[in-house]
Amino acid sequence: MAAAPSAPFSVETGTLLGLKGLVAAMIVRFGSPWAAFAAGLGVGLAEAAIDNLRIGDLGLGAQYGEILPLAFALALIAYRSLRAEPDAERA
Amino acid sequence: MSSALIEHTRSALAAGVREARGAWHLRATLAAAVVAAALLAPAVLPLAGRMPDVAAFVYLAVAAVGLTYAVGLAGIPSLGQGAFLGIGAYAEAIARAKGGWPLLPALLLGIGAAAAAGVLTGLATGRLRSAFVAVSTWILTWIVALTLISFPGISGGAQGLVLPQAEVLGHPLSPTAHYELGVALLVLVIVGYLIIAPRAPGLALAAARERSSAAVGLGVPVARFRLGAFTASAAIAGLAGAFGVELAQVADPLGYDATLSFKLFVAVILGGARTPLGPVAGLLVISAFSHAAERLGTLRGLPPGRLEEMLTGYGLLLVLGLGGVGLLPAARSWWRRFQGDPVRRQAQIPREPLARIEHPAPVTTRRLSKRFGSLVALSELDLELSPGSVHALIGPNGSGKTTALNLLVGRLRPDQGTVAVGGEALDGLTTRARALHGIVGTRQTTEIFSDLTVLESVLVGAGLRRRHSGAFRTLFATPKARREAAAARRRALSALGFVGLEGELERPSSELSAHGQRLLMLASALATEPRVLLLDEPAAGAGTAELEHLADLLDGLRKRGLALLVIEHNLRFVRRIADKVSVLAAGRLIASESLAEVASDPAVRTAYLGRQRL
Repeated sequence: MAAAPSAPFSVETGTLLGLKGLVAAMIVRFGSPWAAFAAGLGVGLAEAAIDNLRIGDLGLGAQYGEILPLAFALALIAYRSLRAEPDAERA
Repeated sequence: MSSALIEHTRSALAAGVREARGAWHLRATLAAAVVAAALLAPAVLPLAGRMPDVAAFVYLAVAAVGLTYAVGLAGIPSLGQGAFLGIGAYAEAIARAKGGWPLLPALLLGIGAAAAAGVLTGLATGRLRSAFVAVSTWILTWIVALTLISFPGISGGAQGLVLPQAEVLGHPLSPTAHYELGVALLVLVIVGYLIIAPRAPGLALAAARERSSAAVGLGVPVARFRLGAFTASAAIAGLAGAFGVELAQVADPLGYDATLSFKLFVAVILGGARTPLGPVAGLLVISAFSHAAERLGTLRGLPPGRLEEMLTGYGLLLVLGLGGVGLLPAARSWWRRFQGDPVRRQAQIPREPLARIEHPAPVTTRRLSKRFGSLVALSELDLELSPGSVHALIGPNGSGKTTALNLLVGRLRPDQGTVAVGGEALDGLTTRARALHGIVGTRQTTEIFSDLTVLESVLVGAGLRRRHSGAFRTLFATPKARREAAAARRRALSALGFVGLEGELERPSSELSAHGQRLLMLASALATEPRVLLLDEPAAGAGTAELEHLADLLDGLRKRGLALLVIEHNLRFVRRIADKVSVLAAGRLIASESLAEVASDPAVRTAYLGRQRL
């Protein structure tokens, strides 16, 4: 309801929106709902910043807006996975 | 080439042909007939106008069967198969449309790109729990889809990338040729699965899928096998994508959206993840959904395809609601119930008795310590386990016995202290490396691989010392791989014969009694050819006769030169088996002497025995 007026909506929109929510929850390791809420805000702000922020002539542009936060989340998950104690090997 | 080598090759080929003839059965004949019919279908059926769609379906089936290598064999819930397919397709398309590459190098690039993406994703997600792997691969799918949509410079935008007509030996690859090629690839991918699943890599993956900790304890390189399965799955998707884009002759960025990954995953779950034909059946059902959705949509005046995903989703929910086994396994189970239990064939291989230990070695621990936060679980433990003796480790609950065992086998890292076998320090070595040094332990809880039979479960342990049991050697049944497989089977049969389970080889391990399952764990550990065996409460829940049987087995192992450490609460059993007893209390060793000396030690009486008699 909050997002619908801001952009064109379709059946598929919910899938990507749901994924972003999942990403936010994963960033805080499915911890408290408030932390997930804050992470979700962070993801949204990062998207908006990537879309619109320009420093002089430098700017990433809208095409990076959705990809980079997801790529960052994937990199974060990978980093945590690689740093984790190899449970499968040592359990 | 020397005549000896030619003769050796000739005899190996002859043996292979004899074995293939011996293994040929009715189902193989039926399968060959189905493949022949599929290959002849374009010549017989009026498919000319629909051949591009049929060929595209076959390529999609190749990708779906490839996904079973990850989902079915390794238990990795990948939602990224569509992304790997897209990576393969676009690597091929860019090389052909923009780089002007010939067909074969471009195909190899497509497969290589998808495999590389698979390796990176597998490495990045290898230590994650299943739910996190699913979400991570789903994120990857979206990243690939969004990249293709957002960067027309890469994807060709709305027009896509148009590929030149592919040619082989000067002849253009027609949709019919693509179909024949697709069927051949599909057969190869299915046969590859059928070869690997019941052999060493497949059994190791099945064990890891079900009880990762138990598989690791038997020395299975779980992470390596899982990465291999995931990479193979991605490479097969890349192969399907590269051929698929050659068929379409245009790479459309909208063709590799997140729906594709979802569709492939649903096909696998719908048809059955642990049978390579399952995804093909699943895709057929989804195609039926697609046609039904089109009809329904037309009736309701909706755009085409709008209802397809909804029906596919309902199909997935239906299968999950029915237990998640998939249509083909459910049909097979129904057919078996209808036919009655199949007669289980018993292996007729002469069993060798369990061998004596060739190089017995003592195990020593010095000042071994472990803390969990502020809790001192084990403090400066000095132990010596001698070959040909049973060392019992007793003490109250929480005294550090299991922690000591976990430190010995490498499941935990010590904060301080060393473990050595025969004077060789094992510091920092993984559980597998320690198993290769001959230290193997069983856990307190019963850990069996219930998807495997009794023999298959023990073969997982017997695979530890195999050096030529990788997927490629297994796939091509090289002479070394076959020799090793035969030796592993002999080891497994010896171990099963020793514990008294030789009559249960083909029985699912979940059907054994609780005591039988403990014996199976022991046999699996023995099949690794240990020098030192660590048993955590092996007598838990055993009756009097079972305790006596277990004690006899431990006597037998002692006579064969094994060093045994047994953690046990049953003091009567300890009295029956132990040569030496060590007592832990609050993480500290308070006594380590002969049975009689420990029994009369006042400190032991105070800390543990009380009025009990040892």
